[in-house]
Amino acid sequence: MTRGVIIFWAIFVLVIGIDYRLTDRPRLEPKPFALGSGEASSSGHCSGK
Amino acid sequence: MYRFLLLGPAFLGWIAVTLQAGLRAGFLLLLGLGFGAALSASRFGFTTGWRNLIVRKDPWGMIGQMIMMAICAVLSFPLLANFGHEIAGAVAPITWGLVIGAVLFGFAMQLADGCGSGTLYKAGASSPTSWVVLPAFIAGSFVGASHQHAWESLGGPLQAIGLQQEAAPIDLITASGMPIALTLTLLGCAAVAAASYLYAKRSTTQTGHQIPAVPSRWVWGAVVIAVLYAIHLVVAGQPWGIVYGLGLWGAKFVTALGADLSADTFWGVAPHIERISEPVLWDVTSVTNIGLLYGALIANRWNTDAITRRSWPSATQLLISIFAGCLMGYSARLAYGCNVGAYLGGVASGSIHGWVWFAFAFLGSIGGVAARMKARIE
Repeated sequence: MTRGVIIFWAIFVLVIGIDYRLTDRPRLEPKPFALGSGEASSSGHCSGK
Repeated sequence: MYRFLLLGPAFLGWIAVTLQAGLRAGFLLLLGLGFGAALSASRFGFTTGWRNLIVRKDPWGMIGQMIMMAICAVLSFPLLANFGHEIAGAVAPITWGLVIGAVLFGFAMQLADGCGSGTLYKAGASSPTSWVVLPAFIAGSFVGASHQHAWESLGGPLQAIGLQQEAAPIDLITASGMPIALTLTLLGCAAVAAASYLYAKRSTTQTGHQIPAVPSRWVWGAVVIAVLYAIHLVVAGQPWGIVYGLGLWGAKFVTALGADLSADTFWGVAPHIERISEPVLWDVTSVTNIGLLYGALIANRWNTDAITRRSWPSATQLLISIFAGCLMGYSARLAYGCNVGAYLGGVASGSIHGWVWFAFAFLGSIGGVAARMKARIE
């Protein structure tokens, strides 16, 4: 099963790496905490936002 | 020694995410690690908790969930009521999609032996069944999100009986104020916990058995997850979620293959279209999901009893798991989330849709448990 774990995580890290290569661009970084930032979260959520 | 080595990639991952995506993403990764470790170490499962009540008349899983909901509500409601411009709850309308989606999700999660969080943490903790369910879940979530608007156009049950002009959210905090909303939510949690205990007590008395002793893992798991939930709300400005990130991974995958989603009624509009074109580590739900997967792996190596099934399931069970994964993903999007985004997030945001999700998903789970027994799934 250790081999399976290694393969699972290798694929996972590889996909994240490919994604980053394909999508990298400058980011307007949000403040570390939403509370006190003065800004509403702009991210998507399961509730349909 | 091997177990300690697993902490290295977690630390390096946190550094990498912080450098590439910022401090907030780094914190969210740490929270995801915490969620995964807590879920895996305490074996805090929504699916198992419900199945234990239905089959074994063991109420402690359900009571543990209600303890968690109550703590989440106590911690979250003041934040949502006082800092609404920065922190938003999981509030969604009561639609037919919610009702049907919750029933289907409850049914499928019993077949797959894991809900949204359960599938992720078990995949992270090296369960081969969950490795198969996860890609199916991703595919279902992607398609389900794409169909969400079509389902919403059907309206909702309250609209059908004339109680609402259109299917709209019912937010207790906005409608009745924070103190009343919190009181009602705590009463709801207490009522479900009491009903579960009384049902188990009556059932076990009839069969001459006793209710099993309270496993402490349900209590400490509930407390730890609730505290992490509240911290997540402070950091992200939105409740903990899972399914959105999985659907996004599917959308990114098909986009990478050349599909154009700009005309899609869900993925083609803001903020989703931006999320597709941005690195996955910038997405709140995705980065928490990634942390959860790895946190579960770490905790699992400290607790060798956590995952009992490490062998590959039979071909039949694999097919059932793939079907259940697709169905869970699809139905979770109709129902505005899974057990985390809709059930926990909804209840802990004072939104009635969370309770509606719970009622219908539990109904679906009763059917799912029966189907599971018929299919002889262990």
